[in-house]
Amino acid sequence: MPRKMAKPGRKRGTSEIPVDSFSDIAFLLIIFFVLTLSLVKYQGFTMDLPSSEKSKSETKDKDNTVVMTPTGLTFNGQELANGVEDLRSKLNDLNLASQPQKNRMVVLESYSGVKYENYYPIMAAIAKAGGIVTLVEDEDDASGSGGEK
Amino acid sequence: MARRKRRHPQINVPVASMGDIAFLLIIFFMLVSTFAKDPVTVEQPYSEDIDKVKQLPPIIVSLDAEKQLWLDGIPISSKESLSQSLDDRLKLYSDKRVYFKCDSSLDFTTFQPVIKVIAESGAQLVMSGTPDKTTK
Repeated sequence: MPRKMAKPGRKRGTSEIPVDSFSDIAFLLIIFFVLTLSLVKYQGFTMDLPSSEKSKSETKDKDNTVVMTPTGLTFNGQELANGVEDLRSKLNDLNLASQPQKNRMVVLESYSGVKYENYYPIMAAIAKAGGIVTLVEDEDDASGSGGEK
Repeated sequence: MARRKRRHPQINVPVASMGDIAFLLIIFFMLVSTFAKDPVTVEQPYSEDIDKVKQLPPIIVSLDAEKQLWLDGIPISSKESLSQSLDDRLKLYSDKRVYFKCDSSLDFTTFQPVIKVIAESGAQLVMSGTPDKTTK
Protein backbone atom coordinates (compact mmCIF):
# COMPACT_ATOMS: atom_id res chain seq x y z
CA MET A 1 0.00 0.00 0.00
CA PRO A 2 1.35 3.36 -0.89
CA ARG A 3 2.40 5.31 2.06
CA LYS A 4 0.24 8.24 2.69
CA MET A 5 2.03 11.41 2.07
CA ALA A 6 2.55 13.17 5.24
CA LYS A 7 0.71 16.39 5.21
CA PRO A 8 2.87 19.20 6.25
CA GLY A 9 1.79 20.14 9.74
CA ARG A 10 -0.17 23.36 9.90
CA LYS A 11 1.30 25.96 12.04
CA ARG A 12 -1.34 26.76 14.56
CA GLY A 13 -1.48 30.51 15.10
CA THR A 14 -0.63 31.35 18.63
CA SER A 15 -2.79 34.10 20.10
CA GLU A 16 -0.75 36.50 22.08
CA ILE A 17 -1.95 39.59 23.81
CA PRO A 18 0.41 42.42 22.91
CA VAL A 19 1.57 43.80 26.23
CA ASP A 20 4.07 46.27 24.84
CA SER A 21 1.51 49.09 24.79
CA PHE A 22 0.25 48.63 28.32
CA SER A 23 2.60 51.23 29.73
CA ASP A 24 1.51 53.73 27.07
CA ILE A 25 -2.12 53.05 27.88
CA ALA A 26 -1.42 53.53 31.57
CA PHE A 27 0.21 56.91 30.98
CA LEU A 28 -2.60 57.97 28.70
CA LEU A 29 -5.13 57.16 31.39
CA ILE A 30 -3.16 59.14 33.92
CA ILE A 31 -2.96 62.14 31.59
CA PHE A 32 -6.66 61.80 30.85
CA PHE A 33 -7.68 61.95 34.49
CA VAL A 34 -5.24 64.75 35.32
CA LEU A 35 -6.55 66.86 32.44
CA THR A 36 -10.15 66.09 33.30
CA LEU A 37 -9.73 67.17 36.89
CA SER A 38 -7.78 70.31 36.03
CA LEU A 39 -10.01 71.49 33.19
CA VAL A 40 -13.26 71.23 35.06
CA LYS A 41 -13.25 74.19 37.39
CA TYR A 42 -16.81 75.17 37.99
CA GLN A 43 -17.09 77.21 41.12
CA GLY A 44 -19.79 79.45 42.38
CA PHE A 45 -22.78 79.56 44.63
CA THR A 46 -26.42 78.63 44.25
CA MET A 47 -29.12 81.15 44.83
CA ASP A 48 -32.89 81.12 44.82
CA LEU A 49 -33.84 84.44 43.37
CA PRO A 50 -37.40 85.66 43.62
CA SER A 51 -37.16 88.94 41.77
CA SER A 52 -39.60 91.69 42.57
CA GLU A 53 -40.22 95.18 41.42
CA LYS A 54 -40.85 97.51 44.29
CA SER A 55 -40.67 101.22 44.78
CA LYS A 56 -38.00 102.78 46.92
CA SER A 57 -40.54 103.86 49.52
CA GLU A 58 -41.68 100.27 50.15
CA THR A 59 -38.21 98.92 50.62
CA LYS A 60 -37.34 101.57 53.17
CA ASP A 61 -39.63 99.87 55.69
CA LYS A 62 -38.16 96.43 55.13
CA ASP A 63 -35.46 94.92 57.30
CA ASN A 64 -32.25 93.46 55.94
CA THR A 65 -31.71 95.90 53.14
CA VAL A 66 -28.35 96.11 51.47
CA VAL A 67 -27.74 99.14 49.30
CA MET A 68 -24.82 99.20 46.92
CA THR A 69 -23.58 102.34 45.28
CA PRO A 70 -20.39 102.95 43.31
CA THR A 71 -18.95 104.67 46.37
CA GLY A 72 -20.03 102.42 49.22
CA LEU A 73 -22.19 99.83 50.88
CA THR A 74 -24.90 100.19 53.53
CA PHE A 75 -26.82 97.64 55.54
CA ASN A 76 -30.15 98.72 57.02
CA GLY A 77 -29.09 102.33 56.57
CA GLN A 78 -25.77 101.86 58.31
CA GLU A 79 -22.67 102.46 56.27
CA LEU A 80 -20.22 99.56 56.18
CA ALA A 81 -16.68 100.91 56.19
CA ASN A 82 -15.05 97.56 55.46
CA GLY A 83 -17.49 96.50 52.77
CA VAL A 84 -18.10 92.77 52.43
CA GLU A 85 -16.33 91.86 55.67
CA ASP A 86 -18.66 94.02 57.74
CA LEU A 87 -21.64 92.71 55.81
CA ARG A 88 -20.62 89.13 56.58
CA SER A 89 -20.45 89.82 60.30
CA LYS A 90 -23.82 91.62 60.24
CA LEU A 91 -25.44 88.72 58.38
CA ASN A 92 -23.87 86.15 60.68
CA ASP A 93 -25.33 88.00 63.67
CA LEU A 94 -28.80 87.62 62.14
CA ASN A 95 -28.38 83.83 61.92
CA LEU A 96 -30.48 83.74 58.77
CA ALA A 97 -29.99 80.05 58.06
CA SER A 98 -32.07 79.09 61.11
CA GLN A 99 -34.86 81.56 60.36
CA PRO A 100 -38.11 80.72 58.54
CA GLN A 101 -38.09 81.59 54.87
CA LYS A 102 -40.02 84.84 55.17
CA ASN A 103 -37.43 86.18 57.60
CA ARG A 104 -34.49 85.23 55.39
CA MET A 105 -35.21 87.79 52.71
CA VAL A 106 -32.42 90.26 52.10
CA VAL A 107 -33.31 93.12 49.84
CA LEU A 108 -30.45 94.07 47.55
CA GLU A 109 -30.58 97.49 45.96
CA SER A 110 -27.98 98.52 43.49
CA TYR A 111 -27.42 101.35 41.07
CA SER A 112 -25.75 102.12 37.81
CA GLY A 113 -21.98 102.32 38.22
CA VAL A 114 -21.70 99.20 40.38
CA LYS A 115 -19.46 96.66 38.66
CA TYR A 116 -20.11 92.95 38.69
CA GLU A 117 -16.80 92.32 40.48
CA ASN A 118 -18.20 94.29 43.45
CA TYR A 119 -21.76 93.01 43.15
CA TYR A 120 -20.81 89.36 43.10
CA PRO A 121 -19.14 89.06 46.53
CA ILE A 122 -22.14 90.78 48.13
CA MET A 123 -24.50 88.22 46.66
CA ALA A 124 -22.13 85.41 47.61
CA ALA A 125 -21.97 86.66 51.20
CA ILE A 126 -25.76 86.83 51.42
CA ALA A 127 -26.13 83.34 49.95
CA LYS A 128 -23.54 81.89 52.30
CA ALA A 129 -25.27 83.45 55.30
CA GLY A 130 -28.48 81.70 54.27
CA GLY A 131 -30.26 84.75 52.96
CA ILE A 132 -32.61 84.86 50.01
CA VAL A 133 -31.81 87.80 47.78
CA THR A 134 -34.66 89.96 46.61
CA LEU A 135 -33.70 92.16 43.71
CA VAL A 136 -35.13 95.61 43.74
CA GLU A 137 -35.52 97.50 40.55
CA ASP A 138 -35.66 101.21 41.00
CA GLU A 139 -38.51 102.87 39.12
CA ASP A 140 -36.04 105.19 37.44
CA ASP A 141 -34.00 102.23 36.20
CA ALA A 142 -36.98 100.18 35.03
CA SER A 143 -37.13 101.86 31.65
CA GLY A 144 -33.44 101.10 31.09
CA SER A 145 -33.60 97.46 32.06
CA GLY A 146 -36.67 96.54 30.13
CA GLY A 147 -39.16 96.24 32.98
CA GLU A 148 -40.99 93.15 34.00
CA LYS A 149 -42.35 90.51 31.64
CA MET B 1 6.43 19.60 -14.62
CA ALA B 2 6.14 19.96 -10.91
CA ARG B 3 3.71 22.61 -9.89
CA ARG B 4 4.90 25.14 -7.45
CA LYS B 5 2.50 26.10 -4.80
CA ARG B 6 1.82 29.79 -4.77
CA ARG B 7 2.92 31.36 -1.63
CA HIS B 8 0.03 33.32 -0.33
CA PRO B 9 1.30 36.60 1.05
CA GLN B 10 0.98 36.80 4.78
CA ILE B 11 -0.86 39.86 5.92
CA ASN B 12 0.07 41.06 9.36
CA VAL B 13 -2.12 43.72 10.89
CA PRO B 14 -0.24 45.46 13.68
CA VAL B 15 -2.68 45.58 16.53
CA ALA B 16 -0.31 46.69 19.25
CA SER B 17 -1.17 50.40 18.83
CA MET B 18 -4.91 50.01 18.59
CA GLY B 19 -5.37 50.57 22.29
CA ASP B 20 -3.44 53.84 22.11
CA ILE B 21 -5.46 55.00 19.13
CA ALA B 22 -8.71 54.18 20.93
CA PHE B 23 -7.77 56.18 24.00
CA LEU B 24 -6.55 59.10 21.93
CA LEU B 25 -9.87 59.21 20.14
CA ILE B 26 -11.76 59.06 23.42
CA ILE B 27 -9.72 61.91 24.87
CA PHE B 28 -10.17 63.94 21.70
CA PHE B 29 -13.95 63.64 21.68
CA MET B 30 -14.27 64.27 25.40
CA LEU B 31 -12.14 67.40 25.24
CA VAL B 32 -13.95 68.68 22.17
CA SER B 33 -17.34 68.15 23.75
CA THR B 34 -16.20 69.89 26.95
CA PHE B 35 -14.94 72.94 25.13
CA ALA B 36 -17.91 73.14 22.82
CA LYS B 37 -20.29 73.34 25.74
CA ASP B 38 -18.75 76.45 27.21
CA PRO B 39 -16.51 78.35 24.78
CA VAL B 40 -17.06 81.76 26.35
CA THR B 41 -14.24 83.12 28.48
CA VAL B 42 -14.85 85.84 30.99
CA GLU B 43 -12.91 87.44 33.78
CA GLN B 44 -14.40 85.76 36.80
CA PRO B 45 -15.26 87.82 39.89
CA TYR B 46 -13.63 86.92 43.17
CA SER B 47 -15.32 85.91 46.40
CA GLU B 48 -14.27 83.92 49.46
CA ASP B 49 -17.80 82.68 50.01
CA ILE B 50 -18.07 80.30 47.08
CA ASP B 51 -17.43 76.63 46.66
CA LYS B 52 -16.96 74.10 43.93
CA VAL B 53 -20.11 73.32 41.98
CA LYS B 54 -20.50 69.56 42.23
CA GLN B 55 -22.38 69.05 39.03
CA LEU B 56 -22.43 71.54 36.21
CA PRO B 57 -25.96 72.74 35.51
CA PRO B 58 -27.27 71.75 32.09
CA ILE B 59 -27.80 75.34 30.93
CA ILE B 60 -25.04 77.95 30.80
CA VAL B 61 -25.77 81.63 30.29
CA SER B 62 -22.73 83.82 29.68
CA LEU B 63 -22.26 87.55 29.37
CA ASP B 64 -18.85 88.47 28.04
CA ALA B 65 -16.86 91.70 28.21
CA GLU B 66 -18.34 92.87 24.91
CA LYS B 67 -21.82 92.60 26.44
CA GLN B 68 -22.64 89.70 24.16
CA LEU B 69 -25.10 87.24 25.61
CA TRP B 70 -24.58 83.50 25.11
CA LEU B 71 -26.75 80.49 25.85
CA ASP B 72 -24.83 77.20 25.80
CA GLY B 73 -22.30 78.68 23.42
CA ILE B 74 -24.91 80.15 21.08
CA PRO B 75 -25.03 83.96 20.78
CA ILE B 76 -28.33 85.51 21.80
CA SER B 77 -29.45 88.84 20.41
CA SER B 78 -31.83 90.10 23.09
CA LYS B 79 -33.29 89.49 26.52
CA GLU B 80 -36.56 88.43 24.93
CA SER B 81 -34.78 85.74 22.90
CA LEU B 82 -32.98 84.60 26.02
CA SER B 83 -36.23 84.36 27.92
CA GLN B 84 -37.87 82.30 25.18
CA SER B 85 -34.84 80.04 24.73
CA LEU B 86 -34.53 79.51 28.48
CA ASP B 87 -38.16 78.53 28.79
CA ASP B 88 -37.71 76.01 25.96
CA ARG B 89 -34.53 74.53 27.42
CA LEU B 90 -35.80 74.28 30.97
CA LYS B 91 -38.60 72.05 29.73
CA LEU B 92 -36.01 69.56 28.48
CA TYR B 93 -34.20 69.06 31.78
CA SER B 94 -35.29 67.95 35.21
CA ASP B 95 -32.37 69.96 36.65
CA LYS B 96 -33.73 73.52 36.69
CA ARG B 97 -30.44 75.22 37.46
CA VAL B 98 -28.79 77.77 35.23
CA TYR B 99 -25.05 78.48 35.44
CA PHE B 100 -24.45 82.20 34.98
CA LYS B 101 -21.05 83.55 33.95
CA CYS B 102 -20.49 87.26 33.70
CA ASP B 103 -17.43 89.37 33.10
CA SER B 104 -16.26 91.32 36.14
CA SER B 105 -16.05 94.62 34.29
CA LEU B 106 -19.72 94.87 33.37
CA ASP B 107 -21.98 97.45 34.88
CA PHE B 108 -25.11 96.79 36.93
CA THR B 109 -27.36 98.05 34.14
CA THR B 110 -25.89 95.39 31.83
CA PHE B 111 -25.99 92.24 33.94
CA GLN B 112 -28.98 92.92 36.18
CA PRO B 113 -31.58 92.48 33.39
CA VAL B 114 -30.03 89.12 32.49
CA ILE B 115 -30.21 87.95 36.10
CA LYS B 116 -33.79 89.11 36.18
CA VAL B 117 -34.67 87.12 33.04
CA ILE B 118 -33.16 83.98 34.55
CA ALA B 119 -34.99 84.54 37.84
CA GLU B 120 -38.30 85.05 36.08
CA SER B 121 -37.86 81.83 34.10
CA GLY B 122 -38.16 79.97 37.40
CA ALA B 123 -34.66 78.55 37.25
CA GLN B 124 -32.32 78.33 40.18
CA LEU B 125 -29.30 80.53 39.62
CA VAL B 126 -25.76 79.26 40.03
CA MET B 127 -23.41 82.21 39.79
CA SER B 128 -19.91 81.46 38.60
CA GLY B 129 -16.85 82.97 40.25
CA THR B 130 -13.43 82.16 41.59
CA PRO B 131 -12.11 81.88 45.14
CA ASP B 132 -8.60 82.53 43.84
CA LYS B 133 -7.70 86.17 44.16
CA THR B 134 -4.60 85.82 41.98
CA THR B 135 -6.63 85.17 38.85
CA LYS B 136 -7.99 88.72 38.93
